[in-house]
Amino acid sequence: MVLLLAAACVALVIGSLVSDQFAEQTVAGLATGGIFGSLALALVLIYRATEVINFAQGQMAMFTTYIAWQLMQWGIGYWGAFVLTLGIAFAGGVALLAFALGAVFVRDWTFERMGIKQAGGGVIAVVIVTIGMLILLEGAAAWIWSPEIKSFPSAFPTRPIRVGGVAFSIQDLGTIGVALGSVVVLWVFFQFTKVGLAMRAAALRPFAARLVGVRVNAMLALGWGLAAVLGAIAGLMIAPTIFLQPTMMDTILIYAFAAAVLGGIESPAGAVVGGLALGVVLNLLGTYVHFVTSELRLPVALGMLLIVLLIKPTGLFGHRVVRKV
Amino acid sequence: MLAAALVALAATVTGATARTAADPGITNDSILIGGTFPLSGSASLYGAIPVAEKAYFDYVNDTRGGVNGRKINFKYVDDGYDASQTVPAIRQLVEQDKVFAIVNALGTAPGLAVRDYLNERKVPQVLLATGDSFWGFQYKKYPWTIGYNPSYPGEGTIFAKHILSKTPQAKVGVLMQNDPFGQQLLAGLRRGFAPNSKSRIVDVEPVDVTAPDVSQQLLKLKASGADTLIIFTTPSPSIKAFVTAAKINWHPQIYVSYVSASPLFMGAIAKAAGAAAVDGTITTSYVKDATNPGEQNDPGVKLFEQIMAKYYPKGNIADANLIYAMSVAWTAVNALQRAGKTPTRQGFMNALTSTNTAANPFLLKGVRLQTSKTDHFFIEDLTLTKWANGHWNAFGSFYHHAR
Repeated sequence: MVLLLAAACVALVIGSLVSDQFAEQTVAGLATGGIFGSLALALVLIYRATEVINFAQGQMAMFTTYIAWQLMQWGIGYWGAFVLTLGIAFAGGVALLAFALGAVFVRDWTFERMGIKQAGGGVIAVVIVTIGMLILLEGAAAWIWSPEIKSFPSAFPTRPIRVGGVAFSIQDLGTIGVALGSVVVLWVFFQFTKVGLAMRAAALRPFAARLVGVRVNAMLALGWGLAAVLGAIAGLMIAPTIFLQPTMMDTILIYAFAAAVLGGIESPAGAVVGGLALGVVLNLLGTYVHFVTSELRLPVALGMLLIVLLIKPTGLFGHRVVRKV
Repeated sequence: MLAAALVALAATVTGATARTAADPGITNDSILIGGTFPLSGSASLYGAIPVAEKAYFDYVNDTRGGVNGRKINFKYVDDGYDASQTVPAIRQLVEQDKVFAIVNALGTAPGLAVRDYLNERKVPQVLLATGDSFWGFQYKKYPWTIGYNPSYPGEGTIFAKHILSKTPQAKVGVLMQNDPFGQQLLAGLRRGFAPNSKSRIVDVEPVDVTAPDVSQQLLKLKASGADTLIIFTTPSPSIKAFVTAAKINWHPQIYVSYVSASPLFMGAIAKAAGAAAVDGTITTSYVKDATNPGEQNDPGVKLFEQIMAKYYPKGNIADANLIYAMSVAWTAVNALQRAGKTPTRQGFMNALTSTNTAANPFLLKGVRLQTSKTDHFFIEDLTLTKWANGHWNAFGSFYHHAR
């Protein structure tokens, strides 16, 4: 797998040296892919923590980006707003988990009172709650900030830089850097810190983890909080190009799902690589394969995803999970 | 004797019905009209339009006591820009609320979804907020339907004419939204370039309205050698196109459809990507612009601002959709006034299809609203306008018969 990826990277580099347009398309694709990857990473974190696909991930990212905008409107500088937003996002992520679990709890309690017997369904119930949150957050954003399109400042200069006659956008390069940076930071966190180890334990064997003193619920909350932070970063990176709108993340989330599955739904590195790969493949397909017109780009990309999953059902970086039944 | 009694009874009955036989939505002191708009969902940035229309109707009610002594009530309903929601919403308005007419309902697909129903029930479906040319052309089959916005192909043709007259050597690249909206604009552009449209248009890049970004299309257009970029997309992809062009250091002459040219968007793009990203952009126009310093003393702009301040203070006057909305409301009131002392649906349609006035205060001087039994195109006069110094600046003479 690593060999295959290395080969793909070499091919991209050679292509970029040969053709300016190829280079530009690749970098732009990596930048869009970086956004898919960041959001996919958030999905993976939540999946690892609670085995739930969070359908509200895109709207969480959108909402936190609006919060950053609001902070800047109140006169806080970009970086101040950036840091504050990440903090608020973390708290919001934890609160949403509490909300989702609380909603399920209330349902169970009500059913019990009504004498309705029903078996588990915990995961499905939480997934449905995330869909509810999706609608709620989108409506709330439109209500608070109006659906009017708003511009959003960029962390990076908007001017391009020239490398050997090819103009690259500094914004794009910055986005790629941030996506790769977040996965490295997360990897270090999971591999080399005690809390990271505890999180992995809580996700893998919650019962055993609890026995050795890991506070499993706190770890789950931490997972949701981190996911919300990653979503906020994705939102802050993409907003300067696509502007603020309550619906800004709707389609991006679909690509992020694809990226997460492509990478193997449990692998953080896989999510980012999956996102980057998807971004580049979409751009190069659209540019060089002429029958792939814009309406065919997504189906073709998803078709390729299907082929990858047929050959390697666990995704690029996933590994087989054996469950005793 | 019995027969005479029956005749007398019949006479009283018909007499009674004749006295109260007003069309639905009309009472002695009120007129109820309705419309569907995307107050939520992907197109919710148009959600301010009905609010501005209601503001104008309220102004007419307060200052003139409505139309012929009847106050206008405007009921607007959310359809989320989703035709499957439009159908029940329109049925609700017609069957339960008993509206007199559907005015300025927004969107092509939503409009198409209820066109047969409204024509069958003989309910006016008028002044629609969409610029597809078939609203105007298919009047024989759908006599109860009439559009309002300038036709999209008409605008495409005007761009072609301007390019041919000013920069005949231009190499044109088109970013086209991959739906009937973008296709109609492109068809109009090709018609304007005919018979040489193949050699003038060097590349057409389609884009889906929901595409997360347009960098692939923009890079390809840049690589095609185009020196003129025509943006035939709705606001969200258009904004991405402007920002992306600046990002990849491409500065062609840009033309953008009036649909996406609100000063609100242009200002936001300039703020995010620099003034150079939008300066020199050309579009067509027919409504006045409250952000243009040159139009500050215009009575229409002043009236607009005055109504906004009183009835819709939360609205943003830089949003071109709002003054557009008031121009629609003005046109509706104008037709109601001519629809008879007790307006009927047929009378309202007759009035709308015999409009001939240049007095709409919210439209640019030079725009004449002219319709007839066989001309169902409301706005056919457009002027070109160029973005500079933070606002649009109309130039050149009007183009007529844009359809």
